Amino acid sequence: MIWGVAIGVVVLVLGVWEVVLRSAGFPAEATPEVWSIARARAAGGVPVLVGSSRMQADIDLDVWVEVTGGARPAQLASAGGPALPYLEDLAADEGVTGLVVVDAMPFHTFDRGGPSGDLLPGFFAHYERFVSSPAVWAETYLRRWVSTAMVWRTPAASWSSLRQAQSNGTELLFPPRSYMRADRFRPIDWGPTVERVPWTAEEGHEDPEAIRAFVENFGKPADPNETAETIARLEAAARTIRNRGGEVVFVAFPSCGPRKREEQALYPREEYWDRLAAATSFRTIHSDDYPELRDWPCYDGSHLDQDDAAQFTRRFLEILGGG
Amino acid sequence: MIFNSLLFLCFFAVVLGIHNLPISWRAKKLNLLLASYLFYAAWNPPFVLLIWFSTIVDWQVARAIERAERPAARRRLLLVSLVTNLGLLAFFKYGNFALENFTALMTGLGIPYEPLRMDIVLPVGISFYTFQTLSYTIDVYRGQLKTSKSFLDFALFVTFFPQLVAGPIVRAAEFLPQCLAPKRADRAQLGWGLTLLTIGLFEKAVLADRVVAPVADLVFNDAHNAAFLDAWIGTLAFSAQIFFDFAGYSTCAIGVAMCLGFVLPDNFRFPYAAIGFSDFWRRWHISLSGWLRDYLYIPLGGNRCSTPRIYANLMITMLLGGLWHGAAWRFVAWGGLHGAYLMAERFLARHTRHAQWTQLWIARVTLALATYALTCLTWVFFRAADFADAMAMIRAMTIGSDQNMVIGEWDTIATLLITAGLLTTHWWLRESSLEEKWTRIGTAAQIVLLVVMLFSLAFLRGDTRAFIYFQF
Repeated sequence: MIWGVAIGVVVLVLGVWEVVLRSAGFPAEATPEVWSIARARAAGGVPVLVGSSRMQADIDLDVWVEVTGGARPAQLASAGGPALPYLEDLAADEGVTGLVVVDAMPFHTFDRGGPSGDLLPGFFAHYERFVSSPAVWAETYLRRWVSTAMVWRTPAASWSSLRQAQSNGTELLFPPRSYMRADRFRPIDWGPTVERVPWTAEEGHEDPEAIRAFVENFGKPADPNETAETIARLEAAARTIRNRGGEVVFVAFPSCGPRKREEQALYPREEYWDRLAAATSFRTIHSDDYPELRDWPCYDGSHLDQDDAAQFTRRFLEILGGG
Repeated sequence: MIFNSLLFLCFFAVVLGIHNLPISWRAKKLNLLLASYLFYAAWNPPFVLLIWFSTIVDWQVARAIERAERPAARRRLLLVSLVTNLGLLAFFKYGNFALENFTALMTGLGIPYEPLRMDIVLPVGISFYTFQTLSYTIDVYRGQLKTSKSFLDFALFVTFFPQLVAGPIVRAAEFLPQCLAPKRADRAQLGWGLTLLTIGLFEKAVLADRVVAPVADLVFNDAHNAAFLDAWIGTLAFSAQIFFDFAGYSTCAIGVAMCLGFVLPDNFRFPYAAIGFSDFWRRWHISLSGWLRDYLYIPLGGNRCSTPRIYANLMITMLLGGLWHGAAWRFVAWGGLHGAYLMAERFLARHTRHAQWTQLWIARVTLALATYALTCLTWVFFRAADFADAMAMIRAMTIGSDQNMVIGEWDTIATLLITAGLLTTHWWLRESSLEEKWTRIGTAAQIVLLVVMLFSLAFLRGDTRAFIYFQF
């Protein structure tokens, strides 16, 4: 009887909470461990996407499948994800034999001492256990299933998030703009309330305070020697993939507004991206070089709205397919 | 597989369902045995072979010991079991440690020696099941136990999944008789078993992993920069973490076994209310301290020998007990400190045996708090990454440091509240049992507590971490 009542109360309250969250527009979100599922797929010859949150937000995987008619890409990118460790990890895996699209934007590829890649050691360690331990493998799939089926488990509705919202004085049940799907696509709904930052405003202007904050958040740019070494290692890893039949493309996704100015001030294109493009034997696509990849509504400076991401993916695939 | 996982909940539901089907007792035991192998293999399948090997060796050796008539033959057979079990333990657990120390010794002697690094993976729970199977063979050798007539029962004793990887270390005399008659939990046992499982998971996932582990990690991961208060709060946090983690596992194990109709011995009895260290070891990891007492301390002579020899026996037992926990000198230091405490307590007890003041309430509370504080100091060696970190923490806790405090206000308050709650609860329960208190609080309070724990597990669980004792 005791257990019956206790479980009844818990199920009832969770059920009501689930309905409340769904009504408020909260989405169910996949757990971070699904990176290992995507990584395992990467070893199966499917297209692989690596890099930072721009790759995760700007490439719509449903559109990719619709346009190419092929396999769903393994989305391995993550917030702040740097190109090199990802690419070297894939190069070391004989199973990676398909197309690898690398988000190689300079400020996560060539930074020094920043938080870029903080998530990677955890991802790599989990993947190691995922492939060696049946328990971890099964638990990862179970968690993916539960987390994407039940909204009340989403981090945005967790105790910490609600406490944070309360202490910030913001609306308690405000659904997150972005969430991670089971396939690791991270659509962002900027909504009508977010003010668009003018795309071309004050290009090249340097705001010392903004630059200082940027360095604090993302680390200092590497010096020329380190940059050369990073480029050489990217090239070596890419060649390893090509030697077994794969192909690699380096991409710089669009950025805009103050973020673009900060990037340009700290990582001038000619010193970083252009050096990579000149040194590598692989194809490079910089969004600034293609009008169809460049002019998008700009919100936080570097991530597209989910509707724009669908269009962007189509145009990106046209360029990618066009060679 | 760990208790605090969705996979375990699914696995346990299936095992429990099959166990309650109208099938023969033998079929139910087979179900439990296969489930136990699956439980273990889910972590790393090849290591099941080790358990099979250990099971077969001890089964055969024990039967041969029982048949052998000459003492010399019996001793040789016992030696086979000891060498096999301790050999496996030595290789997998202490191989790298021995090699590192041998290399350091050679270097110290000026002999250049650079061995190949052995990439040895420690099989989870090897220390637990090794001690369990050893106790069976030793008990048969001593004539204290008849060998099991059923290989199925014996194999189940070695691998019974609730306690396979982190105890309690069950003795054959406690477990094998339970295999003779059909076991199925009645409604009350099932309810209490599920309650214990919930309490254990709450201790592990909420109190340990969510509340105190991040505080302990924050301090111990940067031990050299710990301020005075950081060091103390971090150590208090770890003291709580290790208890909630390990006692949580034991509580889950006992609860899971009870749901299946089996009774496992208590492994913890409110240790932070211990008055003195002999009392502490009757309350902390009871199955290990009992094992060390019966198979190491007493064979060494126990306390039926000269005073210096008793002190030496205490110290040897605790040093080896420390080494059992991990292949590192800091664990030996942890055991050594406990050995020193036990020696000091024994010395002092000779002079205070008849003192009336020791029975006063205030004296008992003071002694309990002193025992807790001294225990906290030993946890520093248990948790620190190495000796240098441990000494940095001890320095910060004693003479202080000029570093700024890194632990936030909320974490400090939470740790102090948890510590106060832990000590108070242990003192309150000191002379009783959890089951007794649970029964007394009444139905309404039981429902409220269960609901609170279940909600906490749903909303407040920390990062999923393996149980600390899995590494031993």
